[in-house]
Amino acid sequence: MRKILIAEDDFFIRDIYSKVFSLSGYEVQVAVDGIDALEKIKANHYDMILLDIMMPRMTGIDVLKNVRTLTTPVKDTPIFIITNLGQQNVIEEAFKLGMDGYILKSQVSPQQIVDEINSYFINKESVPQQ
Amino acid sequence: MFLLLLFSALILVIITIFIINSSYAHAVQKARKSIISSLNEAAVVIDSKKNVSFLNKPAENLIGISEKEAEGKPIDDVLQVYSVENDAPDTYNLYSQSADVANRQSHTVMLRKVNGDKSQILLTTTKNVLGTNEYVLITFLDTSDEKQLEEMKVDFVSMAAHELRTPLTAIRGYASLLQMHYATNLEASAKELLTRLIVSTTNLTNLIDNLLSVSRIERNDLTVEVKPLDLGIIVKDIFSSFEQQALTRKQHFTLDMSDKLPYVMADPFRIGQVFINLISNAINYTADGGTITVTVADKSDHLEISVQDNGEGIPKEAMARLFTKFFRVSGSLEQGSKGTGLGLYITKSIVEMHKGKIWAESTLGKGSLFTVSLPIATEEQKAQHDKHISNNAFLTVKNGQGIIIKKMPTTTASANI
Repeated sequence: MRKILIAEDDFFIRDIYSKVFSLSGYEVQVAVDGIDALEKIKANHYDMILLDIMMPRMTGIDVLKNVRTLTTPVKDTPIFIITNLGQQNVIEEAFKLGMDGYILKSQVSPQQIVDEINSYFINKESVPQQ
Repeated sequence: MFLLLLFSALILVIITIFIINSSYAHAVQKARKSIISSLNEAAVVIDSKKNVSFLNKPAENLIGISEKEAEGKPIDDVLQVYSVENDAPDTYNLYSQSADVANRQSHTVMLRKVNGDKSQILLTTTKNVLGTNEYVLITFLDTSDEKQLEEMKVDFVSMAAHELRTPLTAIRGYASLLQMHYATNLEASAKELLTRLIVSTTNLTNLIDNLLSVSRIERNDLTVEVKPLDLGIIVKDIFSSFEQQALTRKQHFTLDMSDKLPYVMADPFRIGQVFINLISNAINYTADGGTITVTVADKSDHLEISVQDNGEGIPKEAMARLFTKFFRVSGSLEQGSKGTGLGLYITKSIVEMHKGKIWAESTLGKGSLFTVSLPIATEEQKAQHDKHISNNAFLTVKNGQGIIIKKMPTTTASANI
């Protein structure tokens, strides 16, 4: 079973995402803000991390930055940003920092996010690592 | 002697007429002057040498100068105006730009007051005042408050829309969760209610997104980040995302495009929105079984992308206002809450940010043709952005509206871009 961390400060959205991922066969853990997320990432192994950007205490972009500069294998965990911020410069910054995908929250249903994450894993298995 | 008398009498008459006439003209001039003085609007009258002839109280207050100080001075010294955009002194030729009352135009400019403060003003110049061609009347209104109010309105709309998004995302999320995972045992009528709930929240989400786009456009905050782009890939992608929808409506939905297209300078996400809007409009406003054709044509220095349908068409009187904000074609009410009247306004704004053009042709009852023209990227532009291309950012459009941007495996990305 794939283990996934969902970092999202809004109670309802966090609840929806954890339900939909659990129902789709993922083992779900949640974080309520950026610091919480970073602590959990350091202490656990995840197959995927989903980060909101606008979170209290630490933004998702900063979590991403921190994870990618770690020295443990954790630094290569796939990270998707799931946010309502659609500005090109934010997206490009996240790409430069090494995120693996960017999903505009308001534009997709929770199931579409699951589908996207599923297809990410399918692609990853079929494409040889470089 | 008699002749001399007659002659002097004649001269006297002429002089009298002249005096009466000029005192009449003077009286008229005085009356007009007093009308200008009593205006609430700031007014300055200049003579043919562009020197200040006189100004009224509101003008004195707005500029911060007394009539005495201003009188006889060149207008450019008294009324210092700047262009709103770049703060450069406006080499405004007030005199030559003026027209008579029927044809005059107003300009929004910045006024620098004597104390250095700046105000946005709406300025109008009128020729042929005071009964003579010699004078030009300059009237102006302080519009700073209106500008501020307008900014507050835009900010409010943007804030409200942002705040609405979070709870709406929750409503939409729970509704779709319910539908996907908990609705199997519901009776058909309950399932139908759930579907309606989801359709309505989707419409509301689109409305909010559009409002946010409009407020960004109005704050000049909507940016496009252009790069050399094969528009064919984008159009094809969007086209495929609508195929299912057209199929359920039994519409003949075709794409006519050559495989090899020159690049255009475009922002993939924004330009995608343009074609999503145009194609979804065509599908929505065309009856079941109708025909929709998307064409991409290479016109050597620009690409023309057109969306043609044989749908209900647009009435002639609506054409002029088609691309304006909140405009909806009357009679399209039976379309329910589909349209917000913002889509084409946003579309046009985006196209213009790409230095492109958009236009529509339509015959009521016969269908519509929307065409977007985008300039082809020059070699120079392409070279400049070559570094950008090697970025692995790539974008996919899903279901005609959602966007998911993902890093593509390098091999696939280079094949696509």
